[in-house]
Amino acid sequence: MAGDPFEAIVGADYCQPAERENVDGVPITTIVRPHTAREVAACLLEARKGGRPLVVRAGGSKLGWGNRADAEALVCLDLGRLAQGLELDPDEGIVTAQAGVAVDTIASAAAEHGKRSLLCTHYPEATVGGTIAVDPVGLGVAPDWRLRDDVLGLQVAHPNGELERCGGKVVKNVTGFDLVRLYCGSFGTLGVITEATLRLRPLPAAQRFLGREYETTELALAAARELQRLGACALLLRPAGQRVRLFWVLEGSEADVARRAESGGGAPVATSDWADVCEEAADLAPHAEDDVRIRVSARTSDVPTICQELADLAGAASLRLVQPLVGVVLADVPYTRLTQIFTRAQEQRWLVFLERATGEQKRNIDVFGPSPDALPLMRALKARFDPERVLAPGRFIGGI
Amino acid sequence: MLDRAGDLFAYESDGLTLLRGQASLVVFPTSTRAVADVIRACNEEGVPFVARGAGTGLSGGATPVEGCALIELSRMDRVLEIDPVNRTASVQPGVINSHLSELVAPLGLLYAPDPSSQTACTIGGNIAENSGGPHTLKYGTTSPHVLALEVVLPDGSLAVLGRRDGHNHGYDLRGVFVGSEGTLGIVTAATLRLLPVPEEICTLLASFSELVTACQAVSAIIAKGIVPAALELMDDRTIAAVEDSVYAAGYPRDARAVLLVELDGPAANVAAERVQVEGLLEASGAIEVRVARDEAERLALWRGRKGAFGAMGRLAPDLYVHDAVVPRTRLPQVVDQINHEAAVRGIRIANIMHAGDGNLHPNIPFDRRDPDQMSRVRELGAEILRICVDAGGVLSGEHGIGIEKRDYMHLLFSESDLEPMRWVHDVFDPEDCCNPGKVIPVPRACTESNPRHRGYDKVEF
Repeated sequence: MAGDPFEAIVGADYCQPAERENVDGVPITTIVRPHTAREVAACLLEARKGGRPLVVRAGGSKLGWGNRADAEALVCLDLGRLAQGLELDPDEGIVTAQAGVAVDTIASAAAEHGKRSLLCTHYPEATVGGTIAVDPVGLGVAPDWRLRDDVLGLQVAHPNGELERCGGKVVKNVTGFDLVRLYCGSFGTLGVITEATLRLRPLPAAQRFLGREYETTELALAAARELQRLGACALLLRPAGQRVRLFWVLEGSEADVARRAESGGGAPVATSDWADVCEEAADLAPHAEDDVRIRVSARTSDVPTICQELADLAGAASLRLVQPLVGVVLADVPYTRLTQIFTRAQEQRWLVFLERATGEQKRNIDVFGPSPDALPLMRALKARFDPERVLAPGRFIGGI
Repeated sequence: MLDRAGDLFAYESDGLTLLRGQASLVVFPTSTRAVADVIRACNEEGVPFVARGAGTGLSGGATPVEGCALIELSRMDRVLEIDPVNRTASVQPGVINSHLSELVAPLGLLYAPDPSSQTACTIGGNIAENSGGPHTLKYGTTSPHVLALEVVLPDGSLAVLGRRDGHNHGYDLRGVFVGSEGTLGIVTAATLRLLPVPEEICTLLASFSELVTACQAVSAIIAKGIVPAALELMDDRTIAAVEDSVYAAGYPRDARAVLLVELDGPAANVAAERVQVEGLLEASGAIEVRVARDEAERLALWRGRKGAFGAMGRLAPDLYVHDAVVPRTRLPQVVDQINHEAAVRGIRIANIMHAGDGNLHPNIPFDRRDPDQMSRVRELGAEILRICVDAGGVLSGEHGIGIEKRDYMHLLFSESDLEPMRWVHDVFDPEDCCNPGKVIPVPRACTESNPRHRGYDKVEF
């Protein structure tokens, strides 16, 4: 890419033309691989000056999430080389990592010290930066906590070429506006996360994975409610043929886990490891080619109704995964049913996110569903943080 | 509405009595619409406005800006809805923190954030300051417990931020609003997360012959991977103040420090952790470890801790309740340094710490009638912040920045760190009429060139 201004920042070897790569059908022209946070900031400034919109990727596990970009072509800022820094302080209970560090690397390093992180691990290729940028509802084992609650500090690069530090490396902090939470889940549309500091939590003394099979979804959901009362810290419900399987995790002291392990009813199912169950769930292939995957989120009490209505609208087989403790239902539904589902969800105040669809299917649709009333404030923030709209333009809610 | 000078006197500061301001009037709205009407009227008249709850804040977040309208929200004190199935509560901002937990206790639920002032402070103020409390160690500050907010923006319009189910939908405006200290708008209703009351609670009191040893015990517990619900430290001066007061809790007067440790959760877990914690406390050099035998004894131990700030009224006419955070493994050295700096200035501080979080409250008793003492108190306050930042800490763990620490933000943040905060502020409050001059310092370049910020607007020619 001789002459490309990005080359002057990252070097010729790390600025390459893309070969037939695209995001939702929008072609990627150039892949730029910065090595440091400063290089990331310089790349953003260059993108702004040159009017070249970009998308960010590292592991690429969630690159398909979001609207179709509002651009003719995109530069891909690949943070895969930003993966050297990993600083774990077990006594303090925190870890600081560069954005491109794999989530699994953090999980392994933490486990060596009897700790774990809320960064979910069911996308094996996921990275720290990408996971924080989308702030997913994980399949992890702390239903009362969101990932954003455990992100203590961030370093963020902006299109003005500056690097910002927000938050800190301590577990309690109310110093100034809480911008950490603003960047969590902003899909990289306000700035590019280059480093993060996270809280680590201790691994429990004992942990047990259990699974049972039930005749119907209703029976499984009833069992899930009982297990929630018993303090199950993760619950996952999956159709299996004509039946339904429920998997859950118990944690605590040996005595406490043993006492609670007998509950749940149903027929026992052999389980290996929670991570395997999660990984399997994430890899579920769609039933039909024109099916799209939706994630419906709502209050936990709404879950039975959501399951019922999706089954009515798209068939019982449409349900793929249910997380009763966090109020999330994943389903594969025919594209033609989407408008109907969005309408019903709006009536019921449920959220529908179109998680997997082709670029063509995403045309003329907001994958985040109907926008909230606060959209004008969100647009104004985007205009202030990224006035030239170079950061994943159009990919966020309401075409932000 | 109040506008007589005598009435306004009571509102010239919040809990930070070092700094004061004069409002032109105080209004007491009872509805969201009334708040919006007041704000629109202020905008028409070009009058800045400041929200106030119970006035227990400790960083000057509710200190009146000169000539402002003070919007006092204590009459908006209704609990709007309790949803025990989804474990949420919707409340107006004037609801008193402890009242909410008392109300939901029969349902087996609690509202976790519990600032020491919880019998007086309001939910709206807690949200504005992102307040903490002793149980922050396990349950976090206010932010994770706020699901959605109804707010009146500085232009008088209404907005809903976040969702009652806690799921993300767009930017987390709820998250950035919590802790913005009333500078982005005024909360008129909030949906809060409730938690189940733990099956078992066990409270231990350990006494130590040295403050530093008690700090080391904290590090030992954290390093072991135990997360107590609370891990509170008090030094000898605090112990004496408490034991001399109506809050007397039976703390050992001869100890140089006590640690209050609370464990909660399923009974079997608490029993196992209790054995571990007792062992760690003894190994760390505790002189005595006492376990509360019943609920009455447990509550008495907490009454002493929560009443400690009030008890310090015995030490001097005024009290500067400082707040900063350091990495918790650095506590022993930092406490040593702070005590040294205090001694150099002839000041004896009383330490209370949410030690498990590394959150220090070096309390400085003083007499504001003594100008020399005032000057030394301010100097020590600034030095404490420098020590904490040098140790890798931050300026506030739960009290916020307000006006108290605004001009120290540069100790922690560069201009490029502060600029995005200003972008957020400009989007919410482009006219700078909502609690102006709080939290974010003016840019250094502006400070140097703007006569107002150099104090010349106060000089009479």
